[in-house]
Amino acid sequence: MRRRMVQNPFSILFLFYLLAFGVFFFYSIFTFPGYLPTFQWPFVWTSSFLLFMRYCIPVTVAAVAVAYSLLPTAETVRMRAGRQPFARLVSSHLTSFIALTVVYTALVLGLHPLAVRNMERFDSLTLEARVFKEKAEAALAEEDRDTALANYQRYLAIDNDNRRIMKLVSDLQMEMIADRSEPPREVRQDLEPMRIKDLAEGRESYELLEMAQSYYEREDYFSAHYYANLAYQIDPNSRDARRLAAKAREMIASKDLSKLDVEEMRLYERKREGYEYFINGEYLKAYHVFRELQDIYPQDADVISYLNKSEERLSRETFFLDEAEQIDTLPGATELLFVNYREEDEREIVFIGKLAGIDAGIFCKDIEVLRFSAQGLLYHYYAPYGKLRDGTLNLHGVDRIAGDREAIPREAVPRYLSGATRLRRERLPYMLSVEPNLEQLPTLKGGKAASASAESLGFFALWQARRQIASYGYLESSISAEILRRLLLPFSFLVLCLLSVAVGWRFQARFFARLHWILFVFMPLFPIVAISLTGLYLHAQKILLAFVLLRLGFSISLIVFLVLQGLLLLISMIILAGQRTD
Amino acid sequence: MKDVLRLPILFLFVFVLLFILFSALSVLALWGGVYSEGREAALQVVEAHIPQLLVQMLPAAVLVALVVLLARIAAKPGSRFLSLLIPLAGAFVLLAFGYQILQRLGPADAAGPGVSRPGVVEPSPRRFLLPEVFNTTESKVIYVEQIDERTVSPVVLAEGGSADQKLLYFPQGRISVGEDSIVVRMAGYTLEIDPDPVFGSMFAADPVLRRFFSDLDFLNRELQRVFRHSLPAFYFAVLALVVAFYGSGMFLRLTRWHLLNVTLALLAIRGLLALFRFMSEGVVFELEKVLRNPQAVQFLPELALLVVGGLLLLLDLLFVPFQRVEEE
Repeated sequence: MRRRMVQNPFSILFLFYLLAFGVFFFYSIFTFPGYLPTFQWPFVWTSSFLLFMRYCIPVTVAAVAVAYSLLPTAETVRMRAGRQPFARLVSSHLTSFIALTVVYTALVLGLHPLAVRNMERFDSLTLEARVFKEKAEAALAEEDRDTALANYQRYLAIDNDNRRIMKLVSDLQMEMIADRSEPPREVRQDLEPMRIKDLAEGRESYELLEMAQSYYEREDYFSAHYYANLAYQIDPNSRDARRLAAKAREMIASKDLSKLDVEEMRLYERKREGYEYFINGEYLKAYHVFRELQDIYPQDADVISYLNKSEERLSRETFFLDEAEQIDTLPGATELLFVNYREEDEREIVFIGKLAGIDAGIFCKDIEVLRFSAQGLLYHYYAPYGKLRDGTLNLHGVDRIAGDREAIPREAVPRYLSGATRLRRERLPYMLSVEPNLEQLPTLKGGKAASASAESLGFFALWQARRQIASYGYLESSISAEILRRLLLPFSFLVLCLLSVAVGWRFQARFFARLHWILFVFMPLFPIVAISLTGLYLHAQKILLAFVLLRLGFSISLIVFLVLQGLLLLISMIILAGQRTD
Repeated sequence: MKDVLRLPILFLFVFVLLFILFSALSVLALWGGVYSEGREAALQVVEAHIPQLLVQMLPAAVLVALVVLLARIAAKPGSRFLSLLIPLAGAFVLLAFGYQILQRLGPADAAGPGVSRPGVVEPSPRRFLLPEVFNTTESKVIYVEQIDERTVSPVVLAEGGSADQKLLYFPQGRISVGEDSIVVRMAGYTLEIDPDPVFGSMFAADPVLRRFFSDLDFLNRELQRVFRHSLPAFYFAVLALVVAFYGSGMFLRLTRWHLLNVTLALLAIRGLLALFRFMSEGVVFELEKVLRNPQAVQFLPELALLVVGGLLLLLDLLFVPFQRVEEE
């Protein structure tokens, strides 16, 4: 068994891999930081993988050197293979080394950034969960059970196995139900907005006028006014449209309510109120009126239609806070910082605490915008949430459900920390034009010194970010250096594998009998030494490439890199071919 | 007798190669550290530091060349006497006299640290902060629009405020560059950051090498200190170092498994550097606190190296076969 293992170097290599992963696995168990317990095992696996990738080259180098130094002695090899060069003996192994390099490249360029992102996710979600828990406990201390429940539920969305909090939430819900004097109103859980395709979409003015006429004849004056108004907006010369809109409006205003019962009268008045808001462009108020009506009259066609229309209009100028708040419990790109606007004497710096996508769109939280000129600070504001669409960040969040009619609906707008005047003058006061596109935003992670590393970015994301990152306030050379560093790893893996074959063969064990078991005690020493040696090899190349990069630019440094790697590969092949069997 | 010629030539050849390689890499790393100050300033700084860099690279080059020579002797043993004499004498002469020659290349100064010396370029703020980019320090992110010799304006600090105010704006600040820190004083806020060059991270060693480089730096500082103290003490330190490194060559012939021998020898060398530092920073520091005459233990680290080296040499002479490869 041992003999077979010694004759096949890859058995020793995979034994080293297995042992190394085992060591990293146990190390990760004992170095679990204070993340949520639900992240413990995902952390252990991710951390083990990251450690394995960090030390993969030295472990491979040590294993290959050990394996070739323990190959059957030169005498045996010569007897079996005749007097042929050592290179011919290992030629079949070269294919395996190339295959191993391909696997390593896929792991280092593909999986490694994902694992780093995973680690960042554990950290940021733990922090978020702790904030929710603190808020919930503070609210509970002040007997604000609604806020406490909402925050505990958000906490559970992250730490979903926490039985203590689950019991707390359950108790809180029971208490709240018991305290209610009347049965609770059915709260719609389905928050997904129902959207009906507007019949007006893509129609000409005369078609809209025909529709308005048709609604007028059916005594649906709200729809008649809506479509006649639209026809008039498309074609301001259409007198018929204007006339019909006026007639429909008059009918709405002068409808004889005395024939209706009290309930119908209330419905009609509220519909008219909502419609007035809608026509005057107060979509939030219109939305709240129709939303409230929908809870009471879910089958009313006008209510359904205008609720969707006002929601549609509202979404162009605002977003729903409940949708935005969903990103609190989701992983995403955090601590983004960039120069958003650059003119002769003005700069705008934007900080985004978190960016994440859900079905309803891309949302941001903890947005801070600071603009200054040579004369001083122009404005500085903070917005809790924002919705990113078509390069514009909408900072106006509104509540989807109004709750009690008397209660003031929640609204999130920018809070000025300094200089409010300038933004108020703008046509769209709650819109922030964002220069970087959605693909570039996650690469601008400089908002926190500790998380400024580009390790979590994929190789292709780095490659794409490199060209424009300087305009957002980042050093292009640091991204280029990271690209070169990542390219260096697979090449070094192959070159060092080949060199360690030669080293192992050169420093072969010359035992007359079997390998003494005591020597296996020394096995861990090989990777320890290999860590420093491979570190020196990589460090020397890193210095050289960084110098060329700063002095001559990225393209030249890439050429120098390829030439250097070609040279090193050639040297390692020559050394390998030069090994003798005797 | 071929060894009389072959060994010194090989030793010198390897030493020259390593010395050029180490010095070139150090110069490039130094250049990268000051590149942000501009081409002219960077060249001036590199030019001013070259003699000091050469002095720092000399011990590493000599000691690595010595190990390479010992490996060669282990692989192809010749005369035992010459194998003892040539590496020891060669390494001692190169290190002891090379050090003195290279010291003379530098500016003649006796000034202590922090004193401005002729020919030495004082660092400007641009070495540590670049305008119009986010500069990342150990705990803060700083954006500066303009940097002069003494002022920065305006300054935006990220991570500077409370939970819902991460950005802080200051119209102007005064910057002073010290040896240990960079201090930026703004209205009601003082920021102290480590003097890390802007492009320093591109040339910095990975964490696994930092401790090793730190031990090498310590060795250099100690040699420098002893050299300034007295010449006989310096010769003693060099002798201790050379003997200790030569003694670790014993591991190259210890077993029949040559890869293990090489590994043990490299670990022994690493261990010697760590021992030297431990003795200087740990043992001597503690003894100085309890002894009446602290001068008595001043050369204890060098003595420890000499004793360890001597013991290894004795073990080598008595127990380890000199011609193991040929016997096999």
